Formats: sequence, C-alpha cells, structure tokens
Amino acid sequence: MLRSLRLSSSTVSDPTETSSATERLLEALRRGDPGAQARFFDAYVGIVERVLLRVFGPDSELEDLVQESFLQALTSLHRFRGDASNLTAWVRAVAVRTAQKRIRGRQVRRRTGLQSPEQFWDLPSAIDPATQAALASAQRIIAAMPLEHRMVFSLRFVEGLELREIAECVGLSLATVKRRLQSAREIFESEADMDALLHGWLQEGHDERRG
Amino acid sequence: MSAADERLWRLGRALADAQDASAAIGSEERRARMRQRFLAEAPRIGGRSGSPRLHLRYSIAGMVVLAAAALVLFVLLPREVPLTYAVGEEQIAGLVETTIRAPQSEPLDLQFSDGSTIELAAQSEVRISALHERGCALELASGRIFADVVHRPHNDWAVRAGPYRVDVIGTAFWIDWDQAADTFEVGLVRGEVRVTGPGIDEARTVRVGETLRFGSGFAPRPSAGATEASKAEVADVEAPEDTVAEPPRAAEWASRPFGAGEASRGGVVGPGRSAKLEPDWMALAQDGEFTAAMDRAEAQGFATLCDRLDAKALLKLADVARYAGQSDRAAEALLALRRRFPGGDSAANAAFDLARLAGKDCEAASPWLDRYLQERPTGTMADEARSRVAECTHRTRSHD
Repeated sequence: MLRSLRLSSSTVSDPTETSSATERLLEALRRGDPGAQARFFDAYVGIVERVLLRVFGPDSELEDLVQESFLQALTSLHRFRGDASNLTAWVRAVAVRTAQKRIRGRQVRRRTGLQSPEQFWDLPSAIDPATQAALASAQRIIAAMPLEHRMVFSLRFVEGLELREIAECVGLSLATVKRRLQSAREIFESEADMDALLHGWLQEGHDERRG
Repeated sequence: MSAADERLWRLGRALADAQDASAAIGSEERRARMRQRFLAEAPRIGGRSGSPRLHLRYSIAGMVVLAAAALVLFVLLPREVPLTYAVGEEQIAGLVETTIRAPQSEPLDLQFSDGSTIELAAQSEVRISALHERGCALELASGRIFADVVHRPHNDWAVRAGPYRVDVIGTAFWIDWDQAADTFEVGLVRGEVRVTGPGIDEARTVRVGETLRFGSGFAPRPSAGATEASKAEVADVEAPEDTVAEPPRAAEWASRPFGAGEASRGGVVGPGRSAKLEPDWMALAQDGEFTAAMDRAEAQGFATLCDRLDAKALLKLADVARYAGQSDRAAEALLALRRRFPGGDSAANAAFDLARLAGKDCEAASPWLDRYLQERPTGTMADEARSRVAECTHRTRSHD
C-alpha cells in the first residue's frame, strides 16, 4: 500500500527533541549511565533504519549498517557539539557516512572482482508486476549512480528530506547539494528514459497512467 | 512544483513505500533483534563517548602506542629500500636484469613501489638493468614507453635507448626508439628531462610541450631549419605549460603496435599534442556538470578525444554524453572504443551501452545485446542483456 503523504523529517514529531529529554539523554550517555544506550537506540532507530534503507537500498547488510551506525554514533558522541535539537540531524549524518563508507568499499571490491553487483531484496509482491518492475528499475538506476549523486537523489526524492537537511547529512553547502541534485536528476531521467516502464511513469505519471 | 517534479516525487514515494515493505521497516521483531545486538556490543565502547577520565586514559594509552610504534619503525625499518616493480594487471613481481616485452596488440604496465609507472606500447621491449633506492635504470630495446615518474628529491631514473640516454627526476614523458630506422624521439608531458647522445653536443634539456627527434631516420623538415638528417630536430615546440594536460597515459599510441604508425614520423607527433588536451571535461563531469563537460570536450575536439583517450576514459566520455542527452556523441565514443580496443572488457561493456542507447528500439538494440552476450556470456550484465533480448523477442512476436 502506498503512503498517501510524505513526511519530511522536519515535520516528524520527535518527542526527544521537543523537551529536555534529549539533553538528559545526552548527559546520561556521556556519563555512561546504565540504560542510556538503550534509550538512545529506541529514540533513533527509526530514523537510522529509514535513512540507511533509502541510501543503501533494501539489502541484506542493512541490519549490520544499523548496528555500525549506532556504534559509530556512540564512539563519536564526544565530538557532537550541537545542542539537543541537532541530535537527530547528527545521528542521520552518521548513518549516511556509514552507508557511504560501505558503498565505497563495495565499489572497490566490485572493481577488483571481489564482489558481485548489488542484489536487493525483491520488492513486495503485493504491488502489481508493472509497478514492481518499474520500481526495481528505479532502484537499480539509483544504485548505479555515482555515489555523491546517489546520496542526494535518494535523500531528496525517496526519503523526502529538505535541501538544508541533505546538506547537513552529506556535509556539503546548500549550493553544492542543489547542483549535485540537478545532475543526479539528469542522470536518473536519462536512464529512466531508456526503460519503457519508467519512461511511461515519468511522462504520464503513475496515477494518470492507471486512469 | 512542475508536473515533472510531481511525477518524480510520486515515483520516489512509491519506491520508499516499497522499500519499507520489502525491508519490513518498523517490524518489532527486527528491531528487538537489532536492539539486543547493539546493547551487547555498545558497553564495550560506551565509555569512550562519555567519561573525561576514560578519555584521558585512552589518550595516554594512544600516545604510548604511537610512541612505541614510532620507535619500532625507527629501529627496524631501513632508511631506504630499493624499488620494486610489478608487471601487468596480474601484478607479477618483476626482477632485475630482466627483459620484458609487451604483447602483440596490447600495452603493458610496469608499476613501481614509489608510485611511478611505465607503460610499454604493444610489442615494445625493455630491460630493467638496475633498481635502487632512488630509481631505476632501464633500456628501451625497441618500441615506445610512456613513463610517469613520481617526483622525489634526489631521484635517479635513467632510460637508455641505443646510444641515447634520458635522465629523469620526476616527470611524465614518452620515448620512441627504433634501432633499425635509427629514430629516437622523446616528448614531455610534465617536468623536464635531460637527453644525451650522438648529435647532441651537451646534455639537452627537454621541457613540457617539446618533442625532440634524433637520428638519421628522420627526414629533415624545412621549417625546422635542420640541414642534416642526423642533427637533432626539435619538432612541434609548443609554449611550455605548467600543468599536465592529458591524463598521464597516452593510450592511443600505447595500443598501436610499434612500427604500425609511421604517420607519427616526420610529421606532427601524436603524443606531442597530448599536452594540449586538457582533462577538464573529465573534471567537470566529476562535478556533475555534464553539459559543460560536453561543451569542453567539443572545444577540445570530440573526434580527437575519441582517437586518443584510453578505453576507460572513452567509457566515461560516453556516459557524460549520455547524461548530457547527446546520444549520438555517446554512440560515437562507444564505437570508437570498440574499434580501437577490440576484445576487452571495455569493448563488451561498450556493446551493452550501445544497446542501452538504443532504448526501446529493439531492432537497433538486439545486435548489440547479442554481441555483448557473445563476448561476455557470463559478464556482469549478461542477465540483464538476456532479459532485454527476451523482452525484444516478446515484443516482436506481439507485433507479428
């Protein structure tokens, strides 16, 4: 079932950020209080899992990446200088960096023949076959993009982040993100144009096509 | 928001939903499993993020480890070790006093431990006479080499070609030596070299953009003002440039079998012009500026690039053209690649890309898909190629 509304992360209600709970959580983590790590995980697992899924794709290593992202966040928490309201963006940036690193490693291994191309899980069978095929193609095209384009494209058009949020995630200026996004879009559309199903989707729009 | 934007967003939303469903995002069982795993591992590193006391301990421990490592390196590592080198893609360890000959139709790389590389053109032959701490001495028995020597203080690299000797500090250059025809040619892409040999009174310094030719095999050129064929002739002297223009591989000449391309003699020298080929179309492409990259490639001469670039760069050029929406140019680059580098992985990939360029036009795509499958039946794109062939067959039958 398709979601009817995309929620940008800026509109996601995060109780830890609307109160001093995040401050307390940060303090507890820094002190090494028992239970703080579990609370940290519970508060941010949804964000981490989702952003990794968008930039990495539905892949069997996703759970490993969630684990790696949390461990990385915990390890580098002492370097977090923002206030509580920035914690979500920081955690998301850690997850994106973790995914980037893994993808780079895969690219190197693939170039040296040590890794086969990315194999994603099958998309849900509940979707009609044509849509399933189109979405699988879209996923393949995104995965084949240059890494920096893949990141911004996924975060913008699949995850639905604002440009400013993407800039925070990938550590680039807003102008660079805009430029890169435009290029990524050109790449995607150029590739999609060669795919009959995706071409139809982008030319007419899925709903109109159905209608 | 434009209609096109809206369609892209819809597609993205649908993909996000499908990904969520596929990965069972939000599944309690899955989260519980990940939580348990995290909590098992986290306490081991938890202290690093919190306690200043622990920080101090880690810092002191880190410093001790670093100091110990530095001491070990200082005591155990020799100050300088002779260079080593590896041959070809297989990285076979190379030996001193060994003769190496490039295959009949392909260049061969020698990679040195200091990062320097020497590329032998097809059928060329070199002998590695000596390897030492600061460089290498090699003899070019016949053919062409393209050398990219990493600059280091007190470098001592020397190339002998018959009676000529080229001394190098840190530079990129090529040498072409044909003993039978008595032609020796050296050209600079970066840095400078000093050449000594018959017909040269003192060591001659060759700078970026210069191509020097020596030997009786070269016909005198009136414009150069040389009166005797045996005199040194400076050909195609161009304004020295500070920066390297062409990526430091002149693959066009490297892939040409030695002796096959007489056109380079006595006329404009191919590699000599490489200094004019600025790589900024590639830099622009790396920044995602595909249209600007294509404009730059056109300004440099698209056909020239197709004739000069190596296979990898040609694939890149085709991608850039495709991303810039210039399918004809993309096809041109891919066809050039297949023509110039037949039989390799790149040529097979170019066939697949040509099929992709044909898009839904099965009549145009099918021959290239077949070609790819013939050349790489178990290649990484073989499954996709077969699936497209099946799709085309299905379409053709439907139309019938």
